[in-house]
Amino acid sequence: MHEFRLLIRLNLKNMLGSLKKKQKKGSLLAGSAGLVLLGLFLAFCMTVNALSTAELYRLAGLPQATLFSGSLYALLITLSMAVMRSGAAQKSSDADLLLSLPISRSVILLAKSAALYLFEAIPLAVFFLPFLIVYCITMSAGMLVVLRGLLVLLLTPLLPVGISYLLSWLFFCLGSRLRNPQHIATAFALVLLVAYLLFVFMVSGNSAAAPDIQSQFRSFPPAAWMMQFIAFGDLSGFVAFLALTVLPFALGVRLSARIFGREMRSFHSQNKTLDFRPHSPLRALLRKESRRYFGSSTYVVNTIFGLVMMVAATAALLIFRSRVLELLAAVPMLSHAAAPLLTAAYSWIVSTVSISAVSVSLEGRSLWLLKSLPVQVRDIFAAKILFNVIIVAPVALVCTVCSACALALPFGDALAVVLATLLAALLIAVVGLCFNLLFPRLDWTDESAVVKRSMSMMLSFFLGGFLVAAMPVGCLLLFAQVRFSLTGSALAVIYLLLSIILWRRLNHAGKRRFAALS
Amino acid sequence: MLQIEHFSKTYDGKRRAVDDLTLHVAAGDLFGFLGANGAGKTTTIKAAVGILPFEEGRILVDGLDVREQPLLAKQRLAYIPDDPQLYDGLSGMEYLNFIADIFRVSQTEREARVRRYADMLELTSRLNDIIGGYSHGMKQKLEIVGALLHQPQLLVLDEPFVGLDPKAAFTLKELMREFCAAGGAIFFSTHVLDVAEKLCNKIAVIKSGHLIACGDIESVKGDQSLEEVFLELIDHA
Repeated sequence: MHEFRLLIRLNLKNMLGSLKKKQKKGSLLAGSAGLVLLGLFLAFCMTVNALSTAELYRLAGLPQATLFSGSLYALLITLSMAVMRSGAAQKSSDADLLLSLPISRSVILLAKSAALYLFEAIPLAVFFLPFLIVYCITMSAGMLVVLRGLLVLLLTPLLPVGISYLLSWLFFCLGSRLRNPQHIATAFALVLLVAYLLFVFMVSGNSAAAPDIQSQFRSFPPAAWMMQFIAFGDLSGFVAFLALTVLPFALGVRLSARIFGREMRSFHSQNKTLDFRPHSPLRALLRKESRRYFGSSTYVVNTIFGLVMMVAATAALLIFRSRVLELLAAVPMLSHAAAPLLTAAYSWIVSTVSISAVSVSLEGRSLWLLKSLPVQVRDIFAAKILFNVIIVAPVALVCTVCSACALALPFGDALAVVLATLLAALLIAVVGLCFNLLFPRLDWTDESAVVKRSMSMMLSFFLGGFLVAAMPVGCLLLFAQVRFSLTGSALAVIYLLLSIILWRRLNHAGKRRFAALS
Repeated sequence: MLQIEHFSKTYDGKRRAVDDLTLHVAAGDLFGFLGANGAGKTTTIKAAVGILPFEEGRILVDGLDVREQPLLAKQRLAYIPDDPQLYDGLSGMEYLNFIADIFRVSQTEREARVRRYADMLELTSRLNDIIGGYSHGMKQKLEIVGALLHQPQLLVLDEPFVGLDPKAAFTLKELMREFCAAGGAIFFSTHVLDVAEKLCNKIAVIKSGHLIACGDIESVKGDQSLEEVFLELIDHA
């Protein structure tokens, strides 16, 4: 216990010290303020959601179902966080030092997991607490309900931490059998991602189709256990939930402790044929970007989520085409809004695939190489933007064309949807690179810190996403009488112009910033 | 080949890492750059290869200003840093092809050079492996092969012997001698004074950003060993 406390204190001091050392005071404050604002915004949205849910279930005579909804949200968020981190190996730059000290591996890993626990607990609180608070207020619940709710909240983050430890261990065992272990991690994480999306579809499908709320409780026992314990103090529910969270965590810590600090056995290629084919410098840069991207499961999984979502949404649209067309025919206003709303939805999804937003940061300590080579900074930027577009554009093109056909949009509207979405992808790629040059982070030791939590990624995701999603909606609201073939085309031209303006800025101010990076 | 004239570098507008440094590395020179930790060696080297921006002074590579014509200057040089941070997701061969593509080295030339240098450094059998699985020394060997791929005129090396096994260190020394005998110039920093004494024809010693000795090795050390002279300079200059 003494060592555990010492390690926790050490990790905390180290984290605070590195924040003080590496961040300028202004950017640290701006970043913190941005995160707080984002948290408040999400909490506000969840509170509105919780209020409407509570009212619905109160009228149905099952007010405790509010807690069921909150629990379901918490579990879905928890699982998504575990999936997102599944490919990342548990690395630590101080592993050798810690392992040389007389401290057991499990204690070291337990102390390390405290930071992970915090990172999971904060978003979970944002999603779960509004439901608990709304339930307690509307039901005038006592202190015991509040305490039981908080206990559930404290236990829930153990689940994603435990699952991600278990997946890391599995990845370690499988990875050492392959040439590039990251590829198996990427494939593995993508399979999990698809499984997760199927699960979410199943949850929402069941919610819509279930004849009564009681049957939904039976469909998702973990959320029902959480609800039963918080609302009624049901001990059997608590024990089941405790087992669900603590057992994977304990097993995950135990297994991950065995591999902590161990280098994955390096694989020796049996292929002795060397490939000397030459390529142009730009193609060489693109190939490097591609290897960098697909060589990191964390990078792929966290940026490709949108594309998987886009394919899933398009597939759903094609499957339920007749029902959607019936709905559009029944509501003429909706029919008129179909093209701009489709553009807004696809553009927003495209904005989540912001590969360029961390592409400079991920050069990390190998940035010296690009800077020492006789290659124009413009070409480096072009390769990063182009790679982002190459990944997004083909999927976006197929999905928008399929959706436009499924909705039987007029040719002009369909063309505008396709063009606006594709140019939104270009704009997002350029915007992402601009943000990354404004907020670079090169001194990382764990790339998931850059991919998931860097300022450039957040800004690109939220500001870029807001911009490209709000513009088509703005067109719909402001120019309701004008055909979308015109407003959508105008939107595409605006995206193109903005991209050109930002590209020119990149080639002046961006170049200077890149030169100053070290 | 490399002219550094009145070069100064200040970090954060306060700390002066290098102050008014002037030195000249001619073709055929094997020039050792010595100094204690934090003396300003890496700062000078990074500025010389165009990685680190600077405001005062001028650095020329084969007569080309690294600030005004950076691409042309970089075409003529190769740099190997002290810490071999490469792209861990690429295989060794993919990395070498990337470097060769940037320098537009033809297929026949790249094949001949890769085979020659990788064989010398006993790296050929591992070239299809992922760099992430390489040891520190193997990464350094890969950097050396990459640096020689485009036949630069100037090699700038920061602590090139750290992490190399004795055989690879010997091969590198042979390669360095061969490179300079063919008319190339090498500017490298090192803490290994024995190596500098045996290998270099010229040395410079830097202390707290100031050049305290520079010239032919014989004229700098006289009858003493380089180690004695270095310690004397560092303690008393």
